[in-house]
Amino acid sequence: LSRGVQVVLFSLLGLCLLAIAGSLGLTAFARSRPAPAPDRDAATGRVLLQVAYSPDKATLFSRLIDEFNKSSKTSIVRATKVETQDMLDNAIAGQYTAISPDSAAWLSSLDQRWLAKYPDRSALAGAMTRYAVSPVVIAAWQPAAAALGYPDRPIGWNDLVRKVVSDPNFRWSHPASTTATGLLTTIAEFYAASGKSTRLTTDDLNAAANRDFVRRIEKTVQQYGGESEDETLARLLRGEKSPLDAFVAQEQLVVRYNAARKPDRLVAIYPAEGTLWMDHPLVLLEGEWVTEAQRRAFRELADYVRSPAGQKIVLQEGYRPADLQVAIDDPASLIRSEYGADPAQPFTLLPLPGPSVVDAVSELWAILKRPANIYLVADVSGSMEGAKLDKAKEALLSFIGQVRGDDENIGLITFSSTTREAVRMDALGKNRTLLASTIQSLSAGGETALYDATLFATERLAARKEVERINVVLVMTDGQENASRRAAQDPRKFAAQLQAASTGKGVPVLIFTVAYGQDADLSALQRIAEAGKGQSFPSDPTTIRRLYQKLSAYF
Amino acid sequence: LRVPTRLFIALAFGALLIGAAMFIAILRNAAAQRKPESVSVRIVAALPAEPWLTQMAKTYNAQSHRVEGARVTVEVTPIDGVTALNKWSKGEFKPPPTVWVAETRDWVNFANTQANDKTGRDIFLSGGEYRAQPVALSPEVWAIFESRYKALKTKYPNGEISWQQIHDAATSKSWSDLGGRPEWGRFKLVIPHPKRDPAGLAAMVGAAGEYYNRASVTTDDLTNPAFQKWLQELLDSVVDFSPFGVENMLLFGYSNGDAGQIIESYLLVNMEGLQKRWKEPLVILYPDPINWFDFPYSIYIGDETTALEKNAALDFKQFLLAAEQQKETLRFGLRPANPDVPPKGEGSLIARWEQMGFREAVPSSSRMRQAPRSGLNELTTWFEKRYER
Repeated sequence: LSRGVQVVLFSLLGLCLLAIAGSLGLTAFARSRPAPAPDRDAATGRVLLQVAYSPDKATLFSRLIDEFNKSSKTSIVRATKVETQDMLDNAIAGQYTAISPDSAAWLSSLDQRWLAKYPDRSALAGAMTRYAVSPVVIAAWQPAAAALGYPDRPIGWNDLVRKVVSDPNFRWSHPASTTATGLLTTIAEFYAASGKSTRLTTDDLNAAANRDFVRRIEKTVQQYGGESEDETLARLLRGEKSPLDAFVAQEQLVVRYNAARKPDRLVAIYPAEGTLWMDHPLVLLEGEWVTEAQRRAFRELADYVRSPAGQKIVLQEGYRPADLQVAIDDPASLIRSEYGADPAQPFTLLPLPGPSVVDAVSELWAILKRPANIYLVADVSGSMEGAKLDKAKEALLSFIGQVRGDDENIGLITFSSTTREAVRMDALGKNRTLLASTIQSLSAGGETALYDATLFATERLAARKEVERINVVLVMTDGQENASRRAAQDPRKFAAQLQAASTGKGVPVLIFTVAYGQDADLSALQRIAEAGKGQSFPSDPTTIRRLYQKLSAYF
Repeated sequence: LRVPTRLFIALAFGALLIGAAMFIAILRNAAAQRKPESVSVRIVAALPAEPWLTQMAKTYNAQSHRVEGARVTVEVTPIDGVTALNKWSKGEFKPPPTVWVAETRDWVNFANTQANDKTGRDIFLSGGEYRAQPVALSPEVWAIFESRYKALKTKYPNGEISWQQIHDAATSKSWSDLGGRPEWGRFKLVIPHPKRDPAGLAAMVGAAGEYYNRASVTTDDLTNPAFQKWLQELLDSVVDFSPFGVENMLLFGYSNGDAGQIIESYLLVNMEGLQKRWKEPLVILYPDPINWFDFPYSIYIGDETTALEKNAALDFKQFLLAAEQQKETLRFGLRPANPDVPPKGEGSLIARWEQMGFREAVPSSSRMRQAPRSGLNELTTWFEKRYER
């Protein structure tokens, strides 16, 4: 071989060796660099747990998670407040590592839906722990409780039913059956309807007489509280008057309210026929997206919420601790008779039917619930122009989108210098499209005839004389009254005018007000809501959509 | 290029490839011959046995045990028998654990049967050094709130509480009919969820044993319509077949259940907390025939487990069966599986709560025998139809 060829050949050999060494080196380098892990928190590098929890325990859960995140060196929790049905849907879609609904009763539904979608897999609900429990009670103001017979005799669901049917002035509510508390109330109504005390079946639900019975009770419901218990409590603690005599809630709400030593006193009535415990499970999801590191992190979280530190927070927030070693009469405990609770109660539970019956009750409630006539009253004065009106339109559209039943009657009234019925009240099944197109075409201009519009809507509702329905005016404004002609300007006279137009005509009309933005006259709106036995809510363009979504569950 | 040059290039490349292959082979061989410095034993354990096993694993790991020169570390994960069985059946243990400590040998047999149906071979052995072997024991007992027990004893003065008396109570309209207080509501039974907790299925089989008055039942017995009607009347008094099963009876007290069949160890470890929460003691009784949980330590013999792992698992088993570790079972409410270690001694929860009715020597004379798998499947399907739809 010539020298030139030898040089070429050795160069080739050298290149080959270089290439091999290079590729080996690259491989080793690649292996030494950790791949970005999907289960890590980008900011802290800790193992990330995405946990969804039910809104009723926002204060408790936020405190627990804040303390856990401070104490853990290896894990971090991002907690999201989600309504139960959304929680279950999102869990199946793989959005969370763990969930904490209000009751373990939802877990059968979760697994049924999961296995229907993935029949070859095991259950989605995996390792569980509980950290806080609270029984469902009838929370009654002391005078209303006394009218029911408290404390001289045991009071049950049937007593409540008799009272609300016989006394039209007795105002009560229970949450929508999308919450465990609301679901339990509807199940209790079906038990009372069927005269059974165990094993409710789909036949019981389908019996016409039982449905009529439940429909009759539901007709007495003042409103279906769409707010969480934490929100209700915050409202009561702010000193807002409750328009209700009694409502169904967890014991924790009663003791937290009474612990604040307000002049009025709530009483926890443990229904004699039986009740349900809200047991707030913390559940690991056995989805393929959950890593081993997250499993370990979940165990750390589960250990923390049951630790003495975690259980002390549970006691302070008015729940009963899940760790039996923590005494119910611990100095930090709010479960005391002085706060309206009885630590020895409840004596008995209502048997929970099978998952298909539970699902059917939830579906049936949408049909049997008290139907509503709702006037959406919207301010379209000049100050609403631009993004403000756009956000308000989104909120109104989302309200219509969230209402489940096509039999609910909804109408739209707009006001500026004058008042106009933009869409006549009709069943939502008939006017949904018209409502949507009218809302989308709203434009702003003119003054603010707030009182006239509110009075007009109240009169229109009363004129329908549909007392079997919940009649509601939901009025929203961003400004101050400055253009009314018919309505009295004096607040007290205006309140009297509203009452004369509604209860005076034999048709109670609830008035809810939304103060939209900083310029709204919050105190005037609160007075209007008080006169209409409703509530007033502050809002702004960032929160109004969510507020209207929430309000859609009220009625 | 000329022919010799081409030949040279081909030979050079060939030599390079052969050299590289030899180099890789040498490296691999060296790696294979190098003895591992550590080996991990991963155990999935039934919930009642897990706290004891976790504590024992900590002690064992701290003592730096070595097998074939490798340092052994043991890690324990709690999992109920039904979930574990599903995971074995669906191949969802990835990788499979080295050891499964199920509630009873029945569940190990079920896993073997399912594996046999699929692959023609067992995954756990019943003989030889790797055989499934009990490491602790606990019976299923009656637990009844004292006030309810007194009422039932007044109503049924003859003999101790039995499934038949519980059935009668379950079919009554109210505690008022049983001599109790009306605010107690209906009689409420607690048994664990039969599809979540093997103790639930065991309780149903135990009820069948008493119904037929024998310690062994057949598939025909379990599918007999008369028995199933009787069983349904009994189970209709369970307020909630929650995944938390017996935990609810202690956490929610008499509101959730007046009486129940519950694993003894669970009651023992929670007895102190129960006194704090409900201010009313439980009365403990031993049924006859009685169900025993024997927590068999079963080494997985599938291809995924190396000989070293199996031997390390064996070493931990010997450690668990030694007298010192067996005595520790008593602190966790369990009973020793090693017959040389008596079920009494320092820290024994049985001795501590003897006044409630717990006994070191179980008075029941007959042990309920395993029901046939086909019968258990039928019973599970029957349960699903009635209580899960």
